[in-house]
Amino acid sequence: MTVPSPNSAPSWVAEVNLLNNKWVYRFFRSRWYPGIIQWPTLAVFVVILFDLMLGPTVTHDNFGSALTWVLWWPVIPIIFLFMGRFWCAICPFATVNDLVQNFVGNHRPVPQLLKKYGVWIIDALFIFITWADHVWGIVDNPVGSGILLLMLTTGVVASGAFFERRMFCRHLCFLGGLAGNYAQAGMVSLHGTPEVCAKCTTASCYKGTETAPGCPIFEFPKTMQSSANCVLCGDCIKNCPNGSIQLTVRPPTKGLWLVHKPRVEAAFLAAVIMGIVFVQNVTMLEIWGSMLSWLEKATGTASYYVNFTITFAVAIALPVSLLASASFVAAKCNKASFVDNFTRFGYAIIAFDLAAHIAHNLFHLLAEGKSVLYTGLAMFGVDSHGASPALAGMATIQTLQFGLLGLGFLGSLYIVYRTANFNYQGNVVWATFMPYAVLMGCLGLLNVVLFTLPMSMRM
Amino acid sequence: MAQAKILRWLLCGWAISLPMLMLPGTALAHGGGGGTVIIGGYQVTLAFTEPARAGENLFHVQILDGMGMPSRGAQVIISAVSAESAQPHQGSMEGMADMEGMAGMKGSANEMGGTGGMHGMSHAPVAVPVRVSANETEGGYVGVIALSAAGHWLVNTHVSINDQMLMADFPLAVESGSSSYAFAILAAFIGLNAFIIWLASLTKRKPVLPKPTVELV
Repeated sequence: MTVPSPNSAPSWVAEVNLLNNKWVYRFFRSRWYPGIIQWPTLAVFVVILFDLMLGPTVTHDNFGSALTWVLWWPVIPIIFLFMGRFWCAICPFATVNDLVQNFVGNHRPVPQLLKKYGVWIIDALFIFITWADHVWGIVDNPVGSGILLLMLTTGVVASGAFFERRMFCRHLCFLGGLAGNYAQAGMVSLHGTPEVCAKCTTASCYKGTETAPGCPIFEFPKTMQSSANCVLCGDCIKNCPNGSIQLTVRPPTKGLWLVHKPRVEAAFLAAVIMGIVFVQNVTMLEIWGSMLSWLEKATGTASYYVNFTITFAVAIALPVSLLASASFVAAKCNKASFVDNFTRFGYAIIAFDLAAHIAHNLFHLLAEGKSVLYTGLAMFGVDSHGASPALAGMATIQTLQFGLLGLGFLGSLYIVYRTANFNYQGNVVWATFMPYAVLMGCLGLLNVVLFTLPMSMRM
Repeated sequence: MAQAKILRWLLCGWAISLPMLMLPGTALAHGGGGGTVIIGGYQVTLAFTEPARAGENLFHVQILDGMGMPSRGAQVIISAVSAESAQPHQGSMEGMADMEGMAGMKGSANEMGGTGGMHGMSHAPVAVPVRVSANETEGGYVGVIALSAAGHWLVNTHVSINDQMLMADFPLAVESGSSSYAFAILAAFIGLNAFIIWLASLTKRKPVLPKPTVELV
């Protein structure tokens, strides 16, 4: 195992510490942050929940559905790219967790099971919720969306009531798992200054002080080597007596160039997310109906549960098995184990995941974006009958989609190159690079084909 | 120890209730509207699996020939207009030129006029005419139709079979959305969360107060 070099980034990558700016520094240290954004977000969440449960029953007319699935869901991966896990700092679920904890919190330690298998549980939840969305119609049904949010709220209430800090966010939230992966490709990184932290004996950032609680996500900036679990809540900035914390801007994907402790479950999730993007694309294609009819004939049953589950399993298995195949070939070349290759290079898919995820949702955001306005106006009796919900034309949307896919592809290739270059030398670098380059090429081709076909709308 | 047991049961209950909560409508399933007519030598039956409500509704069409055998290979299209605005067979035929892209069960309940416009965009429910195609299954033909408002509707069934076009109208009473169901879920949610908070307040460890110091004289 090679010891990571602290100077592994090329010289052209200069990181800027945003906290050197006194306004940014004051903002993060202010007692108003993040509350000033948290509480309005919670208020909007309550409105959404109300409208989902008791508003118009047709998704097309429901403001909560429009705000959740046409605005929030497409925007969230873009936030992860530009601002890391900032959303998690202002997420209404986190606010509810803190609120309940302040009143009745038992502050019990996190169960060992969750510490050990938390990310696998998140993987399973993510797969289950995506499957449930398709077979039970969560996105297509306002009440279904409302039930999902209520269930998550219940989980958060239980977590805040019985366990310490934000256990749900760290170990159970499926979006947190996604965010953890994407944030590593994000452009913002928070970390301590090694020289300053080395002399620190108080660990106020982790333990908390009278000014602010300790890190809600159980991170210790002194030893934190990844952005996966930093939500940019600013508590460590408020607590640090030595001004050690840095908030730096970095090139996209830089956090994945050198992953200090790669985990197989995170690599698996990266491949699964690509499969989920395939599923989301395939089931929204206009040819999905014909595919389903063919599948019904092939399986001999018209059960949507059966036929969708088969499609879902194939779509999830495809990128996982492609990654496994590439790892198998790479292991022959670099003599590292199959699991080591799978884990280390699986992270490279994250850049492509993020690009494909944004590209898919860009269609909903730009082709249906105005439905947020129309459904919102409808709550006040303003009729927008017949108006187009599109913010941009299909040509523009497709240009952006293919541009994003191209960037994601290049980003993933570069991560593979950096990872191979860091871990191996000489010809082994390229021998390791090639199978993963072929993998990225296959994933890219599949995505291009899917994005070329006409897609149906969410609302 | 007892507290840990309660906590474990509570978490188990939460885990078990998740999938059950994810099944909207299954507990309420019982027969809904529709009817049967004999037309052109065929018996056409339209049935809703639940009482029709504002929102999406699963429907089932069965076509039996003169021998009472299920007919296969028919093209079945369902359209619905509110009874107030309906002229038999006219209102339901509006927008028939816009029938492409209606295949596929999931999300097949597209509104007439395609996806480009924002029909029915007002807070007060508007009875928007709809039309969907049904997919053939072993037991007949099934589809999902989105009815935008409560009230009296006229459902027209168009069946193309063996170069014959059969059309039958069925009156349908549509109840207002699933608000009672939603209220029940909200009530369950509030009750469960109140219970969790109450339990947490019971099991909360009391802060240990410092023992009063005894002055030694």
